[in-house]
Amino acid sequence: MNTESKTVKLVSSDNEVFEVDTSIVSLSETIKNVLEDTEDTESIPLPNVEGRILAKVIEYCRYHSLLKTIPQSEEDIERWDREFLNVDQPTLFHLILAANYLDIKSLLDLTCKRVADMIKGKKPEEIRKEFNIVNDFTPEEEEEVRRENAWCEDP
Amino acid sequence: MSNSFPRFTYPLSFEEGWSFIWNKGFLPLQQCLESGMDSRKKYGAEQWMAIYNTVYTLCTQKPPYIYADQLYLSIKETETQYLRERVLPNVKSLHDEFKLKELIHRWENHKVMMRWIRKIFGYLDRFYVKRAQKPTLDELSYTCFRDNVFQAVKSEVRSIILSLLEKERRGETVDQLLIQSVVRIFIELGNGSLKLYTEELETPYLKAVAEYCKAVSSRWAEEDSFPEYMLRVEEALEDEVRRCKTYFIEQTEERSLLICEAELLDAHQHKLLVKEQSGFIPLLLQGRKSDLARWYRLFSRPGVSKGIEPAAEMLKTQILQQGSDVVKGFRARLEQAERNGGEGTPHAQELIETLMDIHEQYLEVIVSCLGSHARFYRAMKEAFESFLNQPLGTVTCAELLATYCDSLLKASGEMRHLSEDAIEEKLERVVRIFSYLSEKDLFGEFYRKQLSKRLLFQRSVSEDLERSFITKLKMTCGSQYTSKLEGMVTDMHLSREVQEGFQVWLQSKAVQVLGNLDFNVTVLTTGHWPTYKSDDIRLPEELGRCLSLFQEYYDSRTSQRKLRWVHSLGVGTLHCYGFPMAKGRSFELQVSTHQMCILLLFNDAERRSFRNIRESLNIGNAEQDIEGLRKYLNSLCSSKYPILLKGTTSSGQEEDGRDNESYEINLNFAPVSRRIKIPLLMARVNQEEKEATRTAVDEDRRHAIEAAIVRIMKSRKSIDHQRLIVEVSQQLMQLFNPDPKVIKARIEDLISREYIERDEQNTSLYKYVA
Repeated sequence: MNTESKTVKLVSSDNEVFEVDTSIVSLSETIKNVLEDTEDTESIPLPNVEGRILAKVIEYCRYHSLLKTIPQSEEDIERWDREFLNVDQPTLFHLILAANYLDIKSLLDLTCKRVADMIKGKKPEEIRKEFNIVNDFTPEEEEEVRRENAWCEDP
Repeated sequence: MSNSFPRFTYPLSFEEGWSFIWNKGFLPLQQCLESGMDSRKKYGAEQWMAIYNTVYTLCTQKPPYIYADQLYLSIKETETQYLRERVLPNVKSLHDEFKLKELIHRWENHKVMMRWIRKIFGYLDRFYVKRAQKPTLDELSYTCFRDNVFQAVKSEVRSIILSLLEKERRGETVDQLLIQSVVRIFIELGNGSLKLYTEELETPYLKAVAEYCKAVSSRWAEEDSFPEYMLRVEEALEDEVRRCKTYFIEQTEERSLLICEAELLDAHQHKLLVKEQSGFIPLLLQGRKSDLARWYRLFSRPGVSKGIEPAAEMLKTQILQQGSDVVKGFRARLEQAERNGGEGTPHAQELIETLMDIHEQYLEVIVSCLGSHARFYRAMKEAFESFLNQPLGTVTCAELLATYCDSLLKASGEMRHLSEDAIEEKLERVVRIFSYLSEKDLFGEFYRKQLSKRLLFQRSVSEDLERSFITKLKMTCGSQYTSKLEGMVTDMHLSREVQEGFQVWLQSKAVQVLGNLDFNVTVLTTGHWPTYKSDDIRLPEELGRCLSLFQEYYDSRTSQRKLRWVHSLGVGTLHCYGFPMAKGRSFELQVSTHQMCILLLFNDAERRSFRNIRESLNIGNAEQDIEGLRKYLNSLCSSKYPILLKGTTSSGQEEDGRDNESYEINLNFAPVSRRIKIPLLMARVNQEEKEATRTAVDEDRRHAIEAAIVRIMKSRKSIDHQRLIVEVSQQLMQLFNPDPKVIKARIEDLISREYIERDEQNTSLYKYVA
């Protein structure tokens, strides 16, 4: 069932249908498991993933499964990944959720790292601004947290 | 999206979610397992994703609606319940092979379920299990099967396996695949650890192996001969290897073989080795090579704790006895001959060749049957060292071995008919024996004496053989040991060059100074050669001129070198004319320089008195010198070649008897051939020389000991008496075994010469005096 030429239809939550090579989407553990555990599967419903996000995921899977046959340099892969993640914040967060749901470890790592990079080196105020978070701490609570985490502040 | 896909409202309650999972997931799966149907046919991708989605939702809702914990517990309950209610009763109800088959079937089913759970509930493995520090889903499934099914049936299953294996051992056919599959359960249930397999299956199996081996081996050891026993054991071991490879893992094969070896070989080793008709020694003596090789293969196995040690000791004892018998027998004949005044003295060759044969015989066995194991070489070494260094009365093995070498390398020796290759081969064996000698220095000294004679009198079989043997000695004992011997051979070589140079030099002088004499000189380096006395015998004029010419040539060639003439080693050929019995023809006499000088005196007078001869030759009046001259004279008066006739002069008045003797040329001497060789009186090492050699060796040993003491003291500065004795012995072991008493005497001597001193407080402590 998992041969090269075989394709499968992935159906997004908004009923968008993507016909892809099974070998490409097997990067997702979840899809791989469905294909292994069922017979003659033509389509797989993915009710947790929107079509535009699924399209991104498939783009990611296609590039990375291609690497197995056409190796690229480390820098090229990094550049591609950086390009790929050049998206707005909502898309980034939906990609994280999708990677988690579909169990694509490398994509999950990549997206989470992108978020971590966005936080790194920023002051709490900046982080709140970046992610649009309302400060719900009272001044006392905030002081408390600062004290507890004093050890990790820059000297 | 099709209708079967559930739409839950947020938040999804655990009850609703689990009931969906149970009804759409577990229930159909269990039905498949019971009916033997492929579960994949039961699920469409949609249903599969619906269950996965439900699990995902239950795990990822916002708190307090996260139900991962309950989910994990419910899986465990479901598995447990299924195993207890549906699986265990079925396995329990069956017996023998059927029980095994059912267990295998149920285990395979369980693995299907395990895989399904791992995939559907994968989200738990990824996040919940790690955070809650719970066993993974796989571990959970293993544990469930182990605790609920395996524990309850394992002992019965195990005895079924063991009895099947027992049947197979007896030659019955069993379902190998079945046994293999059950054994695999013991391994798989460990989930990566072999603890369960080892404890529940391997250990009981090994116990059974030990019991079996014990039972059969005591019967075999009683009934069979040693070779038969070994054949049976070899077969049993092969059988065991086959069985272990078929059913068990490598670790079990190793352990089982160790047990077999201990029970089959180690336990009966002594009894078998000493079997009267077929034990180790009888096998050795009968040359049963394949049995000996089998013995080595078996008894060098890791499970035989005593290993080859007992047999190595037996081998040593055997060689020692054989060798000692030979040496003792030789000694008895030697003593017998001494009582008979030297008649029937056994030849060195007999002893040495017998010992070499013994050595070759056992060497061959060790190499071809006993794996060339170092322990056997040691056994042989110890045995040979023991009897080779036993005192033999007046001689030692070192001396006899040197004599044997001489007879091999001497052109006129007893073995002159041998080819060079054969001699080389024998010399190779000699070196093996030589390495066991503790008195290597004594051998060296005798060898040097004999080598010098071979070289000087051109009696050596071949220079290549001489060199090759010296190289062999060098490889055994180091270059210091052979430096003198090499020097001697080199001297001979250089002498030939000197001689050629001398001839050229003579021609350049363009004078026929030598007349019609042929004159050859061999130049020896002092120190390489044994010490020879130089004498001042008065030479005939012609010869004297040759000497001074050579002296002149030699001095022109070298500086700082002194020539000292050793006439006692010289030889010459005389052409004799005027003997009537030679019918007008001349003949040649080969004689030593001394004999030649005596004979040449008779050119001037037909009769001479002893005293006249002595004085003409300028020989001293000491007892020793007179004795020497007499021997030379006697050799010219022998009954075989009576060139001189001995008589008495009437004119003698107050002189002692010897001076009364007179000698006359025997004009009636009839030469039997054109060339006559008069015995040289010095070719063989005689008793005096033997004594002298031993004295020289003792002297050398004293120096060697002193040198060793000083070397040690110099590096240690101060040392305890015992320690010093030990270190000196160690340093000299290569050459000889120094007697502690002698070492002690040397220490005393060095103290008196103020090289070392005693510590004032501790008298057993020596200090080096710089």
